[in-house]
Amino acid sequence: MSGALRVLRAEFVRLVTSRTGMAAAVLLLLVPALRVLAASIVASAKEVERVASGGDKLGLTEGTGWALLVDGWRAGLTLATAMLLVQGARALAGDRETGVLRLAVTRSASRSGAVVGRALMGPVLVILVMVLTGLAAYFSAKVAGGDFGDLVEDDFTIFTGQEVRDELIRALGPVTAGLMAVHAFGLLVSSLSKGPVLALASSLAAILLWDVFKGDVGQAQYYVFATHAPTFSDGSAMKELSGFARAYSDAGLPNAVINMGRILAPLQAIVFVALAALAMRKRPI
Amino acid sequence: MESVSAALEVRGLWKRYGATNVVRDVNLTVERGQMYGLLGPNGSGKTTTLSCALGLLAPSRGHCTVLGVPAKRLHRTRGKVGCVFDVPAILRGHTIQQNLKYQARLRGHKGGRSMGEALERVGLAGFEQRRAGGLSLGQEKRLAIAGAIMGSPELVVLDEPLSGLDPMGVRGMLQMLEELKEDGQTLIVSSHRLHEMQEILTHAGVILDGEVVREAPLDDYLGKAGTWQVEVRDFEAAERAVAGLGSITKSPDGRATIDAPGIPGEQISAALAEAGAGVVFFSEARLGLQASFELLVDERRSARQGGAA
Repeated sequence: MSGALRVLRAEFVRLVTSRTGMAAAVLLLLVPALRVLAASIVASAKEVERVASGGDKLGLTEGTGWALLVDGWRAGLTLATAMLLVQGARALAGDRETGVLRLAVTRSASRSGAVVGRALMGPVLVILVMVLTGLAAYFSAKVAGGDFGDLVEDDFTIFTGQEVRDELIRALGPVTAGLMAVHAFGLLVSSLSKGPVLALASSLAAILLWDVFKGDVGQAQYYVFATHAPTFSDGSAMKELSGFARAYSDAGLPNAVINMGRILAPLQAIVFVALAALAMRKRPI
Repeated sequence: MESVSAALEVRGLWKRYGATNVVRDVNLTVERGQMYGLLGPNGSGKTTTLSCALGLLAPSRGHCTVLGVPAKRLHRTRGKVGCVFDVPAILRGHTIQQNLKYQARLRGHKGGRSMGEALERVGLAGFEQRRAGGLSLGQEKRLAIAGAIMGSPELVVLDEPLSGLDPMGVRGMLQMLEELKEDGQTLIVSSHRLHEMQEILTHAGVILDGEVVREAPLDDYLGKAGTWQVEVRDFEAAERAVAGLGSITKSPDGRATIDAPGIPGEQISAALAEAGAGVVFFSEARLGLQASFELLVDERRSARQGGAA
């Protein structure tokens, strides 16, 4: 295990000192901010249109920041899904091609340690992207004039601020687990691929295909980790949270689905990492 | 029984790809403190042997130990082995300093003084902030070697360190390897550049078609020390001069060979001059690694032809 931790530390140093890492961080800050900006512009335009047409005020009058926050956060996490997949898919196949994987194996880690060390980067990265995208979305929503109090419409409190916060925390559980599993899936594909390009193409194709067809399998889609990660055809808890933050009373995934995400996605991630370690045991490095 | 002091031991190593045996029954022993050359033409199995020896490639048969540890458990040597392969494993998007920090973290430390020393040793001190992607091949190899020698590992393995380098790069690399040798560093170097390797090795193993055909101290390849080729005007005077120092035999080409082990060349030369032998030519008669290697290749070819016939 100490070998895996050494690899983790080295990989972390590598990430934070790389230009790519910095560029990714900037993107993860920028995308939620732009999404919030776009949403607030649309909201303002609708308000101008309503005033001009003399219509009644519709929608929330208080707690408007929540929807902006969730939309921005969700956009950032959608990007993060792709980034985590790419990072995982590049990790083993790319380092094997450049010989960097040899550095770990000849210096301080077993083959399994080199895989597990890279896999442990998954949770670290997910926490980082959660914090970055969340902060970017929160401050952007604040700047856009959103408030984070109760959700009030026509002087009627639909959800209290505390209820929204609870729902937000409830939704983030399976999303976090889903993102970790996406990274682990990339790693597994990487361990099986001959080169980084093939690994990237295969993992992206697999996730995109699932995105396209997951609706066809109905509720069974929640057994698969990828459903719990925000994607373009989003079926994750973040999508439902977006409705909840707009005070749609029917929004929000049932507890059973949330628990599937919380439990099944991490289990699948562990299986992916174990398989990747197994695949790397016999491969030339 | 395996020697406790061996830096590397390879026993009965076979590596098969499909129907081809790339490495056949290779046995090698590299003792600590040696500067060992694994020599052979391109495609002879040098890199495959080293890859198996370092646990990067699973052998089809046989076993290898590094510093007494089985190759597939190489990580248990805890950073006591540094290696550089033909294509230097570096992070091209990172600076030289960041590259070494990465490698230091892999070894479980932060770099610090050993990083500066390694850069000093390979001649890259002062270039810490330069991006690795912008380095020349020679500099890339130096950076990779800096990573390998950082933290003073007990064994350093370099696969084809001279390949792709220009003459100045080769000179600089040989100088650097010579300095490492003077420090008592155990080094294993694979190469097909025999002339250059002759300058730095203490021991060598020759690998041809996946088989080690000879493994010996470098002097054994170079020929017997203390043998001299001379051309003299007066052979009888030369005979008198050499009497008591060694023996002299006349060659059909008119030259003569003096066999005087342990006697310095200056002493023989002075004795010849004193006896009035009229020395026209005087040189140590040693084969050289290249010639020795060619003899091995010829012997092998003859043996094969003999076997086929």
